[in-house]
Amino acid sequence: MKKRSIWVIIILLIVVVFALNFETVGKHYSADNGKSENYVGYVVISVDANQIAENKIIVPETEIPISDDDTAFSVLNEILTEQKIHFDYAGVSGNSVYVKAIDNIYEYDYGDLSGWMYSVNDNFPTISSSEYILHDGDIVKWVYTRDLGRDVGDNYYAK
Amino acid sequence: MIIIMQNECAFSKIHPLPLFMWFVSVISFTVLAMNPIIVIISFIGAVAHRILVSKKISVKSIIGNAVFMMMITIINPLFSHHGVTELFFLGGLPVTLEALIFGFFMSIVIQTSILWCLSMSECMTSDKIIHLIGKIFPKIAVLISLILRFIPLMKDKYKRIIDSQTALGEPISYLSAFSVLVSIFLEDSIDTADSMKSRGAELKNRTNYSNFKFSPKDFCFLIFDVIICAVIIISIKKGCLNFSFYPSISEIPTENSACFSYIMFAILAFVPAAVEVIFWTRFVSISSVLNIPMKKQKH
Repeated sequence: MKKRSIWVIIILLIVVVFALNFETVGKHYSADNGKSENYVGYVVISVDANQIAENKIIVPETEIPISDDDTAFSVLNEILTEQKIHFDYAGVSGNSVYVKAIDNIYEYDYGDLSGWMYSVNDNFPTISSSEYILHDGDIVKWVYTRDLGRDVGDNYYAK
Repeated sequence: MIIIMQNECAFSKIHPLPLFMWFVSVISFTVLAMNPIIVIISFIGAVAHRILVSKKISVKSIIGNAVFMMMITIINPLFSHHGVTELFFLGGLPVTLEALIFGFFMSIVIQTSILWCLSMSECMTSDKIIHLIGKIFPKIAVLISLILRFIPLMKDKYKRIIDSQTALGEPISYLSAFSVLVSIFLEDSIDTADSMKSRGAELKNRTNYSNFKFSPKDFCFLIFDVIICAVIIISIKKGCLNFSFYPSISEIPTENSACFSYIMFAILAFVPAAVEVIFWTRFVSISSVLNIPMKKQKH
């Protein structure tokens, strides 16, 4: 019985490995993510961790084309893959995704209230980044907060 | 005069208080120091003690433990994507070398603490626990000793239920065996409670018998333990033993102060193995190793 359970676990592991999309590092970063050419406009995206150190900019303000179903998460995914920057998220891409880390800076690394947030046109949306559909001319900022958003301009927890 | 049972380890002859302190300090340093050298020293010490004490080491158990360690090593990088060295990508997320190494490190930590806890359960029997905390927390002491007694009892009963099912020729059902086990133990615990009550377990000023004397040797051992703990705690506080796995693996600290605490910890971790070797080579004659169950020895 013991032996059988060990084999079940091994087979489960193998299934997990092959069911998830296996890619080598080179393939992952050079992959053409099959994006359609039907661009509907441009957004400006930037990623910074200025709350940790002065001028710690991970991605400077960059203009990228978007198609009509692009979200704040998908453009982040695109720009970070293009620039070969590590990032980590929870949830399946497409549903409510939570961004845990960018460039090996993890949530909770700088205190209990720290983590990654995003703003669109200086507003902090209250929905998941993978559900926020972007429009032409939007300015998307991904920022690292150390105080639940209060230090980067989010007023949701202002009190 | 020292009486030693054949299956008993010589290390358990130390007074319960220094013995308990020793186990707590070694296990907590192993788990909390997060330093590979400390963990490897502790692992070797634990394996040495198990080899000297245990008579049931089989190839099968070694393979089982190795598989267990391998599982932890493999599972950690599937859930933790921290680290700068990306090996490959699974479902869009990186599997990193750092997470793999951290998984291996954690597997050694878990294995080492399991081995120390095995030694601890052999050395710290229930009478020692009651002697140690019986005055301060009488109820907790009774509870702990009852639980420690019940686990092997349950294992034995479970095996007997399965055996009787086999003997009756019924198909073996682990679920029904478990339900039988639970009802047997509910009845047994009521019996135990009645028996304890009738013997005055709840009365005040009730004493318990114990035959442990705190000798100067035990005092020396306690002081030795406390001094080494202080040295290691100071070097942890000063950050001499700092080691980080994420985001990239840092260098193993090898300054003089770090090496000093490694040596100190090695002395601490090899005490049981050394006690075992010294005792069995110096104080026990050949005849006691043979089939004589109990040996009295002038000390």
